[in-house]
Amino acid sequence: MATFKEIKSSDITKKTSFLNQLVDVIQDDVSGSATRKKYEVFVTGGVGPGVTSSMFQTVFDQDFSLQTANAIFDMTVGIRSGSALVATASTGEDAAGKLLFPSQSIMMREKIDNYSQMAQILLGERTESFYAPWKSTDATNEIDNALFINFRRLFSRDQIKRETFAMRFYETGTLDGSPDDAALFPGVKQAYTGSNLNITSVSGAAVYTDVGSAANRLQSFAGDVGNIVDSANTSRNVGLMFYDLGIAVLDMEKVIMTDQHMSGIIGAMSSVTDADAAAGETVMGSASGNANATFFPDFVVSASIDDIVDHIASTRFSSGSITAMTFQNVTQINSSLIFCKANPNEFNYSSNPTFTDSDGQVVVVNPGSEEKPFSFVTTVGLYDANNRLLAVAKLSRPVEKNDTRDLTVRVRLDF
Amino acid sequence: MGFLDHSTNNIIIDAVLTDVGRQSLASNDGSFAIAKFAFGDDEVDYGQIQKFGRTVGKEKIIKNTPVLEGQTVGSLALKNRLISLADQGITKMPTLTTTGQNLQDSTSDSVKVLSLVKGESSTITITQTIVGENSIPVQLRDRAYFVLADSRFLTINATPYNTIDSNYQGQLTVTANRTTTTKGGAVVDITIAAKQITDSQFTIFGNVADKTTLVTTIKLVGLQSGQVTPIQVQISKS
Repeated sequence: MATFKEIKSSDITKKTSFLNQLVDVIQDDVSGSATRKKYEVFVTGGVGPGVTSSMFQTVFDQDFSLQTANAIFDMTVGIRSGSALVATASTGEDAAGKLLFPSQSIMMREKIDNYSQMAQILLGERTESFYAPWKSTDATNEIDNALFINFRRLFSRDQIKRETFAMRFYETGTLDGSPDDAALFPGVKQAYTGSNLNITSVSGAAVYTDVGSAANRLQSFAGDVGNIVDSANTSRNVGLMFYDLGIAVLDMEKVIMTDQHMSGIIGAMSSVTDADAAAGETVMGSASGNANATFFPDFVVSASIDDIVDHIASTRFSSGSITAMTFQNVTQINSSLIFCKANPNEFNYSSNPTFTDSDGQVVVVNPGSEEKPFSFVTTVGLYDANNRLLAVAKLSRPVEKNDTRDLTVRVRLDF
Repeated sequence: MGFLDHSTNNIIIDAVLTDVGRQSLASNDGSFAIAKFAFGDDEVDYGQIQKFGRTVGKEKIIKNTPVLEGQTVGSLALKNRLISLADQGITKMPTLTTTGQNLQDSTSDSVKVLSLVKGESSTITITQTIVGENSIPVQLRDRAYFVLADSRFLTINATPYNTIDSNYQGQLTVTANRTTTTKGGAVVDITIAAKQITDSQFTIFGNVADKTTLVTTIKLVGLQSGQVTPIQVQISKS
């Protein structure tokens, strides 16, 4: 055919390459309520108006009500079923094996289920425990209270690249001036200033990173895994990064100052309305309720998942335009390289209407001269055997084709 | 469609699957198999060669012709194909002429206009001709034509289209008649039928000033010559 040329099988080769993209999450996206979406699917009943909560929250790169918003990661917490905390908080088991908890605790079974679900997915067994560092058998390294950060596929793509993850996290919450704060921080002299549940942290920043994971390529039931460590002390392991699934597991007892005083209003199984809290709420950390409440165990046990994630997201990542979290992703690109080869005597004429005048005379040669025709290539069409145009490639500028020049255009189709 | 950056010496190639290519991949039947290629030059104005001569004209075309990004609508992505001819001395190219019942010259341009009433059909004849030569070069004698038409409004030769793209452009391959002109030009008869177009379609797609008439265009493309002839089809409600 005068306008098509067959492509031989030897003119098509396949290649695999990898693309890395840098993902940068800024603090405001994590801390802002407009960029963090809740899915309030959990509802308590029985006492008072009840508590509603999400099982997880999603952080977006802009106001999530906008159609242009992209979900970056999901965040939730989990508690290990066999932990001392559960043993202490639980009042026993019913005949069906369901753990029982007093009504002062909220969502304990859901927090345990979260941990178990992640253990099933990442470790292969619901009853297994996460350890940081990976495969440690030391009980002090067992993660009892986990913060799970699940990166969305849009950003983690095929996997997170090893040794590119870092996050700035504030171990210390805002000081509320309570006597407990004064005990922890002797310099604190001010009077009690109120809730610190959702006040942005300003001190105690640490950078957690997976440095060293490229040299130590650990494998797990869920693919590649690496240790997340404190950049200031890389022997201090604070969590795990599952690269293939794009999930970070952080030990809350290591990344958060657990004995810091916590105060404020949280959702609770309460039917009483008083001066401090409405029905369905309670006050922790003040004289009217558990004055000495700390992050662990009081807040972790008494607060709903929404309240805990709200606190962590709105305070522990701080609030500003600097980076809260960064990593590189990996996208595997499978390419077909198609070599479209034209010999010197091919494709030197055109069906372009400007190639001829109204009489069909070719305009690029002077009649009667020895000049040879030439054409320009701007487009390559790739067809199947039935002349269906499957792909099209454009050259950034016209390339001359004449009878003294062969031309090979390498078209790369990525899949 | 934007333009490609042509400010560097490197030639960048922007490749994209067409709608038909994506359909083919999605069908998962092994039909996505690239077998051949064609070159195109849709953006090029060879009139520059006439105006500025071969040397300056070429330079103007190369440097001053912005190239559009790849178009995913297959029927629009590559309109004018380059042609391979063994004889590099050919200076005359054939043209396509169309004749037939209800076919008239346009009052505004060189495009022929075919008038149909919905549900009716008309047969037109396309003939390859050449001016000032005794015969058409063998390599340029079309053996078949692609017919591109709006599948919502027209049927061609009462035959289902081979493919329909996302713009409802149906493509059908029509084989030329066995008989040729005395110069060896291809002759093909094509029956174009207007479908039973609904009143709603006339309301939506009809002319702004006259909602009882809608206008669509079919394109005939010579498989060997690459020559393109558009025909405007006016379909009336009654």
